[in-house]
Amino acid sequence: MLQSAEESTKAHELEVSMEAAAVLLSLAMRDTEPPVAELCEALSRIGGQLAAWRTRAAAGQGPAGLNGHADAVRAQLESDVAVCIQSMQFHDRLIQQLSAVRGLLASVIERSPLDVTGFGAHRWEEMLRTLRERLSEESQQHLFNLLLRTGVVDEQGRQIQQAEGGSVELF
Amino acid sequence: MPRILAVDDSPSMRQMVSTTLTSAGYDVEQAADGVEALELAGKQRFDLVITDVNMPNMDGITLVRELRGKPDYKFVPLLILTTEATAERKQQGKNAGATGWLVKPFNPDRLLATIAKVLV
Repeated sequence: MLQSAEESTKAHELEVSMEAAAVLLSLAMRDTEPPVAELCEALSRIGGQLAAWRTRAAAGQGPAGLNGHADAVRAQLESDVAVCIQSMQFHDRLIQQLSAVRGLLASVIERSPLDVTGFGAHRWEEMLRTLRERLSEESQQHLFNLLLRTGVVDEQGRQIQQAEGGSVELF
Repeated sequence: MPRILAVDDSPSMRQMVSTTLTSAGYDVEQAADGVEALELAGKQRFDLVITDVNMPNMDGITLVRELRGKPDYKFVPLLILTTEATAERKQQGKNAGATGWLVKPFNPDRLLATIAKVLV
């Protein structure tokens, strides 16, 4: 009977941890979507511009064929490269979030069965507190709370997600 | 042209920062963590250091504190570029001697404008 209770406790522990890890993975996946879409759009525009240049070159027009639009084209290319640089940083954010998931799973593996007595609501709160400590960004914490409440990130969540990125504060 | 040391444990982030700065004409060196950065800063003087916070071996806030303790870096702009945005962490950076706090993902134009401003 005692062994059965311990097994039940351990199963519940894993269930809670896996659910928490799934929430974090969901957060990471949603974080990745917008910048990758922006990156693709910017690369598409750059590709289109290069194709147009090739066409002009084939027609023997060269840069002069831009008919005075050279500055506008260069500005657009610079803008698109800036979008690429900003969007590519999704990789760094993704790695950080995946590291948080890895840390969570590793902590479950390392935890001794003797340390996991007392579950239910108290255990869940403890797990949430641990997760919040791992989410160092305020925006991530807001999103985490939204995900826990609704299971989805709505427009409000997206605004929170993008609110802090790119801010500059000089001391 | 000013020489800048970019410190980040993420190779892609170092590349993005380096690409942005070199395109503007800056001379950029890279370091993967605080220890490597401190070693480089001891061998040559940089006009500005921009560093991540969470890195192995030595974090960015410790790096800023260590650099501020060196006579050569007492007045050199030290910028922190991180995903962290809490007031508590910013205060830690400020107390360590950081010149400014930038939150990732950075916008290239804003990064260059900020660097130009603190280098004056």
